[in-house]
Amino acid sequence: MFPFLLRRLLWIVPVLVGVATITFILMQVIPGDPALLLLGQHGDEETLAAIRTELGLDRPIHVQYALYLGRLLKGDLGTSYRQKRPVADIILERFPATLKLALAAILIAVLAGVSLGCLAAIRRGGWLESAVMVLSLVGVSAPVFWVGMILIVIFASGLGWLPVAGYGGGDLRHLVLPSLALSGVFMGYIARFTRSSMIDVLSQDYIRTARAIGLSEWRVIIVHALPNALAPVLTVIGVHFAGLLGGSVATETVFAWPGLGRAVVDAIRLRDIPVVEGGIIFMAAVFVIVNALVDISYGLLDPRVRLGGGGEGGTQR
Amino acid sequence: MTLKALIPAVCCLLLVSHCGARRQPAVPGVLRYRLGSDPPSLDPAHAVDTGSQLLTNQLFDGLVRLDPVSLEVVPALAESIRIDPAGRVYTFKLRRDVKFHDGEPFDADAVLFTWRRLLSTGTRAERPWILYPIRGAREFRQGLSASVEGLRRLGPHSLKITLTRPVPYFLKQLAMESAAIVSPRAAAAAGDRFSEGPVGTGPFRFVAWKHSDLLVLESNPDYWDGPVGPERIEFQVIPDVAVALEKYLSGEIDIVNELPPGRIAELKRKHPDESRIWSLLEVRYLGFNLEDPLLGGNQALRLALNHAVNKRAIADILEEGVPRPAGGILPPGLLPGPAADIPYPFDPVRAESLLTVAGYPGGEGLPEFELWCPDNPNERRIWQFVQAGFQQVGVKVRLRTLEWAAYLARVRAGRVQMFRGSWIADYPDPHNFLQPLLHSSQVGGAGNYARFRDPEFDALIDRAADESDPLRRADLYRRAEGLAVARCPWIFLFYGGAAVMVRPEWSNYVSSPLGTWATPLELCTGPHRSSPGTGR
Repeated sequence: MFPFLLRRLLWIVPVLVGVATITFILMQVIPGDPALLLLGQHGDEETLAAIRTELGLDRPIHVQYALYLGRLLKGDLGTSYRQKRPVADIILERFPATLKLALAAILIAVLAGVSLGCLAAIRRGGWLESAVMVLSLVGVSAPVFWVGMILIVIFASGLGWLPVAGYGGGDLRHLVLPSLALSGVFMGYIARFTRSSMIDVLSQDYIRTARAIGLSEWRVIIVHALPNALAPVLTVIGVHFAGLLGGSVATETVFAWPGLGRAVVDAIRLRDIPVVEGGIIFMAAVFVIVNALVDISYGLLDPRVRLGGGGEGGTQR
Repeated sequence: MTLKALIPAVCCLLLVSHCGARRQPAVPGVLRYRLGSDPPSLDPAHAVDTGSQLLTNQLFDGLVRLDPVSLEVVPALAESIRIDPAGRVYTFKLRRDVKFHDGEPFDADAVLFTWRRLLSTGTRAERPWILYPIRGAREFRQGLSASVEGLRRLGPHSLKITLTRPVPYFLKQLAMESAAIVSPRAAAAAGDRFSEGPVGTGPFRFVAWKHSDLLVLESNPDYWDGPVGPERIEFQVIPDVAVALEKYLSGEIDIVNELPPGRIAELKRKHPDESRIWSLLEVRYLGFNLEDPLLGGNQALRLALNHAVNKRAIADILEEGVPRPAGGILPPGLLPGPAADIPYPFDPVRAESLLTVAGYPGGEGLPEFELWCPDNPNERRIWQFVQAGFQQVGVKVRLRTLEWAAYLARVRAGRVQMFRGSWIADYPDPHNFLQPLLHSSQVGGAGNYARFRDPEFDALIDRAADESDPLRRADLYRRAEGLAVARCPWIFLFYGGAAVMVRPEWSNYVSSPLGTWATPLELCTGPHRSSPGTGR
C-alpha cells in the first residue's frame, strides 16, 4: 500500500510543473493588461509604467517564467497584485469554505444517489425505477444556478425557513441551500452509476447463491451486493469530489459563498495573475491527492485490486 | 407519494412560498449594506475601485470633503483654508483635538506622512497624480528630491501648500479618497498590510474582515464631526444582484445599491418609500474611433448615426428612467445654467438625409460596422436597440462582445470602429470630463479613446485649466463642450443614475452624485438598542 501511495503522490511534481507552465502561458496569451486593470481608467501613463515595472511585467517572458518557477520551487505562491498579500493566505482563507461546501454536497449526493440507485436497481421495470431515472436526469441537466435560485425563492425569501445567501460566519443553516443546489448534479450521476453497477452485481452467480442458501433479501443487498457495486461508483464519487474541491463558481456566486472557485474566476477576470496561478496549482495538487486516496480506498473495497490482479487471487465477498 | 401527487404538491409549495413571507425585522443599531465584491484594499492609497472607496470613505477623512448634495468643497480635517489671490498658495489650519482610531493625534505631520506615502513609488499608489499640482511632488516621486518642496509644515496644525501653477479644481482633487489621511504609526508599522487593519479619523472604525464574506465597522465614539448614526455597519459581499435583492426583500440587508434590470419599475411601484433614484456625474456614450478612415473623415455620417438612436427611449424605457438622456458631454450641475437638450434627437428622416449627404443614400455602399462592447448582460439590450435603430435607416452594425480586460485593451489600442464608453467623475469639475476624454494629449490609453484631436478644443481646455475666475472658466468649458459636440466624436447616450433600495427603518440615506460609494453612511439614522448609554 505505502509504495503505491508514494508512487501516486510523486506524480504531483510533474503534474504541478505542467499545470504551472500551462497556466503561465495562458495568462500571458490572453489579452488584458494586469497593470491597467489595477490602475483603472482614471490613471496616468507614468503610473501605469511604474506599476508594470514594480510587478515585473516589463521583463522578458522567459525571465518572468524562470522567476515564477523559482518561486514555486521554494513553495512561494507569490503576492496578489490587487490585494497585495500572499496568495497562500488567500487560498487558506477561501479553501475551508470550499471544503465545507464540497463535503456537504457530496455527502447529500452520495446518500441520496446511492439510495436511489439501489432502489432503482432492486425495483427494475417499475414506476420507482422510472422516477429515479427522471429525477437523476433532471439533477444532471438542471443548471446549478437555476436550481439555486429556485431554492432561494421557495425556502428563503418565500417560506423564510433558511437564509437567502452568505456564509453566515460558518452557521450550518447557511450551508443547507448551497449544498442542496450543488448536490443535484452529482446525485444524478451517482444514482445512475449505482443503478448500473447494482444491476450488474445482482445478476452475478454469487448473489443467486446467497439467495438460494436462504439469506434475507436485505442481507443479500446490503452485505453482499452493495459493497461490490460501490467499488466502481467510488471512482465517480472521488473524481467529482476532487472537482468540487476546486470550487463551484456558479454556486458560490449565487449563494455569495466565499469559496476558492469564485476567487480564481474573479482573479482571471481582473488579471490577478499570481492568484490565478497559485489557485490553479493548489487545485491541481488537491485533485492528484484526492485521486490517489480514491485509488487506495478502491483497493480497500476490492481485494483483487489490492493484490495486483483482476480476478486472480482473493475471493469475492 | 406518487408522481401524480408530486406535481400539485410542488405547485402548492411554490404558491405558499409567496404568500405570508415575512420580512425579518431590522437589527437595532446595525446597518447591513450589500457589497458587490470584496474590496481589494482598505488603504486609501489603493482606493480606486468603488468597493474600496465606499469603505475608505467611512474609515478616513481628508483635509476637505464634498457636500453630498451640493458637491461644494467643505472643510473636513482642515478647519479653514486660505488661498492667495494668485491661486497658488494654500494655507490650511488643521483641526485640533482630532484623534486617529488608534489614539494617535492628528496633526500636520500626519498629512505630510500620508501624502509622501501616496507619492512614493514604493507604495505603488494608483493615483499619485492627485498631488502632482504641488510644487516638487513629481521630483519627489522620481527620487530627485528627498522632500516635496511645495509642502511645508508651518506648525503642528498648520500647513502651507504651494502649487506649480494655479489649479482651480485642486481642492476638489484633495477631496478624493486617495488623499485621505492615514495614521502614520499604524501605516508605518503595517507596511503593505495596512489594508488589513486600516486606521483613520473617520466616523467608523475597522473591526473585522472575512474576505469575500463580511466586513464590519463600528462607530467612532470620538468622531470630531459629532454623533454617528449606525453603531455598526456590516458589509455583506453578495455578487449576484438578483440574490442581493432577495436578501433585501427578506430583510437580511438594509441597503442594496444596485438593482436587477427590468425590476426597477416594479420595485418603485411596490415599495415607493424604499426605492430611490439618484442622478450621477456619469456620461455613457457610443464612441467613434476617429482614426477609422470611414468614420473619422465623414462628419455627416456620424451625425446621421446620432440621429438614428432614440436616446430618450433608452433612458426612459430600456433603463426604466434611472438615467437621463445626455445633452452633451457634461452632466447637469457641472456648469451653471439649465441642462442642455439632446443635441441630436431621434429623427430617422434627418438621419436618412444626412446619410445621403455623407454619400451613402439608404446606407448603400456602407460596409457593416462593428460595435465593440464589454460582456455586461445588463447593457446588451441597449446595444441591440442601437443596432435596431441603425438598421432602420439602412446601416448594418455587428455587435462584438469581449470580456472586460480584453475589451479595454482593444479600445485603448484603437482596434475598434465604434465602442461603448463611460466616464464617472473623480471630482465634480468639467475639467475632469473634458480633459481626459477629449484632449489630444490623452489620446489612446489615457482616456481619449475616440482619438479626438482638435487644436481649438485643446486651447480652450488649457486656458480654462489656468483660469481662476469661475464665470470665465465656465464659459470656456461651455464653448469647449459645444465645439466637441458639434464635431460629433460620440453618440451621446445618457447621463448615469443609481437605483437604490433603502429599508424604511433607516432614514437620512443620501447618495452622492459621485456615486453610491461616496455616500456618508454616518448620516443614516435607524432603530437603536434601547439599553442606556447607547444610541441616541
